Amino acid sequence: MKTEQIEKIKNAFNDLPEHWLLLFVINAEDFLEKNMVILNEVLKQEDTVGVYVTLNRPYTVLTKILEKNSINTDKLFFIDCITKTVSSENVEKKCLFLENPQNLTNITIAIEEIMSTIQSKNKSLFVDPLNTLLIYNRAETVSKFLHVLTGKIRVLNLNGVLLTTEKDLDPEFADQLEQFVDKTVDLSK
Amino acid sequence: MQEEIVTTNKKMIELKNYESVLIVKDAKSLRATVNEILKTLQDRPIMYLNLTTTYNSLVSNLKKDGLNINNILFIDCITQLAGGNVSDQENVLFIKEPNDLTSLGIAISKFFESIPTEKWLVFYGFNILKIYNKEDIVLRFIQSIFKNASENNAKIVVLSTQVKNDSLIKKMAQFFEKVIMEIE
Repeated sequence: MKTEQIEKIKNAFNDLPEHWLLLFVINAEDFLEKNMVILNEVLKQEDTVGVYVTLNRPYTVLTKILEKNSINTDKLFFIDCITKTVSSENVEKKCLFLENPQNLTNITIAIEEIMSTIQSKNKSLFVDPLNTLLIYNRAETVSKFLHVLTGKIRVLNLNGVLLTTEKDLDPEFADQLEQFVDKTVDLSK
Repeated sequence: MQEEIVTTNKKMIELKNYESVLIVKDAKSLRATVNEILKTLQDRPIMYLNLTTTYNSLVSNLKKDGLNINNILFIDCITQLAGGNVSDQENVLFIKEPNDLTSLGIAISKFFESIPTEKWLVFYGFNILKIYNKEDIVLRFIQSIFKNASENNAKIVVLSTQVKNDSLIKKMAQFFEKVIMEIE
């Protein structure tokens, strides 16, 4: 990855409100690499505990990738929306397995549930990648969900990182989303 | 009514000269613009309806930007929807959700009627209404706000983003005295 892209990611965390919400638009080719840099930046912040909502990669696969990238998974809890769609899951202490990415209400409830068990004042939510929701739901439904979810992030005084790939977003949806966050960082160019 | 569409990057217009202004920009510029507007109008009574963020987050950001919020009555349509605490506070009205246009309309008209002098409605994130309501319902809602405003010496600024061929913005533009479009 280019140094300027890494700098762009680091700079994204400057000049933010006390509790913040960021949207990263990433090209599909280096999605994972950039995702790791962003996650690392979030977890570097003092006393941060994160909740990682994974919509594409099963928990077991994701944790292996995180460990390979030297991400400290002790500071993370997981909500896995994909494993149950393909197989029966194992019980994991640090992960909630949801049926599928179609049940948006369950995702919200799971986030609230996990967040309520975390004692740290610095809690971050990581949603990877939210454009997957558009495969399972209508754009209008996803817009409503994201309006509520971003509201919830504010209400619960969380920090939030939303990731998306640039090609899958229709302009109206992208436009709405951009209004819900404090800053949009385009890493697709 | 005079309708003018500005497609260049003009500086902020003299808002106070117009009864109603529609500003259409990209999301990033729009955020800066609304803060500029609130600064420009901060000595006047304002009702600030923001559909994109919660009251608490909004207030802390405005204070951080050095804005005086004493003359602002906020309308929050998200906190309750997101399960937040909506205990009584002096300068905010909580509406259950953005499809409750009746409650929203009542809140706006009460504000208009309660202040005999000039007052402003600043409506940010207008296009979010489209997620929750049908286009014709939104248009009728806007029309009713305009009727109310003209009867009560109230001025209106609506800020919205727009995507290509957005029919709602096109239809709505005719209601406004001044339309500023700064989109690609």
